[in-house]
This record gives sequence, structure tokens and C-alpha cells, in this order.
Amino acid sequence: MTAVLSLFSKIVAEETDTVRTEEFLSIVKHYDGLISRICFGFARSRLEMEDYRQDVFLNIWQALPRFRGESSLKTWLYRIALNTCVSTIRKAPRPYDSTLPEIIDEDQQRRIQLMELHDMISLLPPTDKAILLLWLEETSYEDIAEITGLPRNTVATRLKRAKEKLMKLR
Amino acid sequence: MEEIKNSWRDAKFNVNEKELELIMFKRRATSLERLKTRYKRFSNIAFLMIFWCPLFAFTEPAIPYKPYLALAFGLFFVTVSMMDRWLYMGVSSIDCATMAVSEVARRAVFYRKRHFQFQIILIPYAIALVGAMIYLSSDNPGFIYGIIFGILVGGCVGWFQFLKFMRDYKILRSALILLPLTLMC
Repeated sequence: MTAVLSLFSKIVAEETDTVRTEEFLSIVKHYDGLISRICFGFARSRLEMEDYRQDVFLNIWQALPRFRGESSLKTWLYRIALNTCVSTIRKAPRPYDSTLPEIIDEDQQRRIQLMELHDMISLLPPTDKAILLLWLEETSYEDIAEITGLPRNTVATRLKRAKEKLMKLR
Repeated sequence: MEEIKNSWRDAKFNVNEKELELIMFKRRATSLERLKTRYKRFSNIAFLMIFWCPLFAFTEPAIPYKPYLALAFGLFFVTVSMMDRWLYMGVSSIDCATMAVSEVARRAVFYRKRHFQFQIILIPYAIALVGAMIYLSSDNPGFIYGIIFGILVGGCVGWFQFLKFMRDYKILRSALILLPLTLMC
């Protein structure tokens, strides 16, 4: 009986692995842009951005079996991406190098604007950076509070401060 | 502000897609390690079983032609040990780090095919051996029950292991199908 149950669980496990791969590839396909932007916001160099993306995707792959749909997939991905980027900064900051990932945009003006925005974001502390990046992604204050674990009012205050800095730079 | 948000959300980066390949590489490497470990384990078990054959030949219960049966079992375990060792060495020659994905998948297909071919030889051999043992010990019901119990347990274990082998080969082979998909994203 135990052998039969074990066999059944083996078959289920094999099937789950295939489902996991499909889910993972679907996430890569649909949310690659979002994850790349978060990583870009935290990265100071091209290498650092590639490291972040790699770690985020690996963490998503490992955490996927534990995703129970209690929060939306997007919220869950934001949390993984931000946690990964913030913890990687803490663990081992890479030496600064000036080559940032190339932005693919035909509009030169927009490219410059994005690089300026990146420079401004890079001056912020990690938590403010995370809040601003989520706001740029059109995430609501409630969702930012849920993702970062901060009270809604704190999110609003920090965001206001970050936006003011942003306006000053413009 | 809206303009900034829009340009931010439209931003696309020219990043190195190799990192996604790395995730798949890690999966392939893990599957490969599991295959190697399993082949090595089976080869060693079969090798140790060779030493059980003389014990079987000259101990109770007495059944007709027992020394010949023991010799046949001995040959069976030598064959199993050699085949598994050969598969272990073959699978060990796959290097996910330096070989192209297509080469990894091609070799995986090759050794999976050999695995099946070896099974085609060994399963009828095992059935013939067990059948002969049941036939020769037909006047000893206790011994026959023991053999049947052994067949059931061995069959279940064999089936699990077969599924494990196939799952790992599938991961190695699927590298070919998965990679272009990820690179398209």
C-alpha cells in the first residue's frame, strides 16, 4: 500500500515539475519587463543588473511551489524582486562601474530622461527606492504598503519626499 | 510625472539573456548528477550481489539444479553491473558547463535509448530466472511465497527508479525545447 502511495506521489511530483516549468516560463514571458525595470532601478552597472535579474529569476523558480495565490502574482513577484535586490545590496555591493544596461529606445530624449531618472533613484535609500519603483509601476499605495510591509501613511510620506526630489531634479 | 511614469514603464533593456540559460543549466546539471549517482549505486549493488550467488548455491533450501541457477544469477548480476557502469561512465561524459545544449540533449537521447535496450535484455532474463526458480522449487510453497513477495517489492522499487531515470532524462532532453522559448521572451 505504501509502495502504491509512494508511486502515486512520484507520478504527481513529475507532473508538478512540468507544470512548474510552464508556470515559470509564463512568468518570464509576461513579467520580464517589470522585473528588469526593478533590477535596473537598483543596479549601478550592467553586471549588477544581470546579477539581480538572475537572482530574482532563480528565487522565483525556487519559490514557485510555495505560491498559494494569497496575494496577486504581480504583488508576489514585486516582493521577490525587491527582497532579492535589497538583500543582494546588503550582502555584497559590487564595485561601481559606469556601464549601465543599454536602454532600447529610438527616442534619444527619452533615453536621457530615463538615465537621469535612474541616477536620481540611485541616490535614494533602498526602502525609498523600492517605494518609488513601485509607484512608477502604477502600484497603489495600499499595494506598496503590503509589498514593503510599511504602514500606508509612511508610504505616502516617503513617496511625497521622493517625488519632491524628483521634481527638483527636473 | 505621468510622462516619467510612461517612459519608465515602456523602458526596454538590452540585457544578457544568458542568465535564463543558467537557470536551465542548473536544472540540467542537477538531473545529470542524479543520473550518475543512481547508475553508480545500481552498478555497485549488482556487483555486491555477485558475492551472494555462491552463498545461494550451497545453502538451504535445497532445490534441483541450484548451482546452475546460482551461476545464471551470477551472470545476470555481472551483466547488470557492467551495463550500469557503462551507462554511468557515459552519462559522466556529459558536461553541461562546456557542451552545447544540443550536444547535452543528443547524448541524453543516446544514453536513454541504451537504457531501454539494456532493459529489453535484462527484464526477460530476470523473468526467465525467477520463472525457473519458481518451477524448480514448486514443492516448497514457503519459498514460492517469498519469491512472489520479492517480485512485488522489487517491481515497485524498479518502477519508481525507472520513473526517476525517465524524469531526469526528460529534463536533459527538454533543454532543447525550453531554451528557445526563454530566449524568445
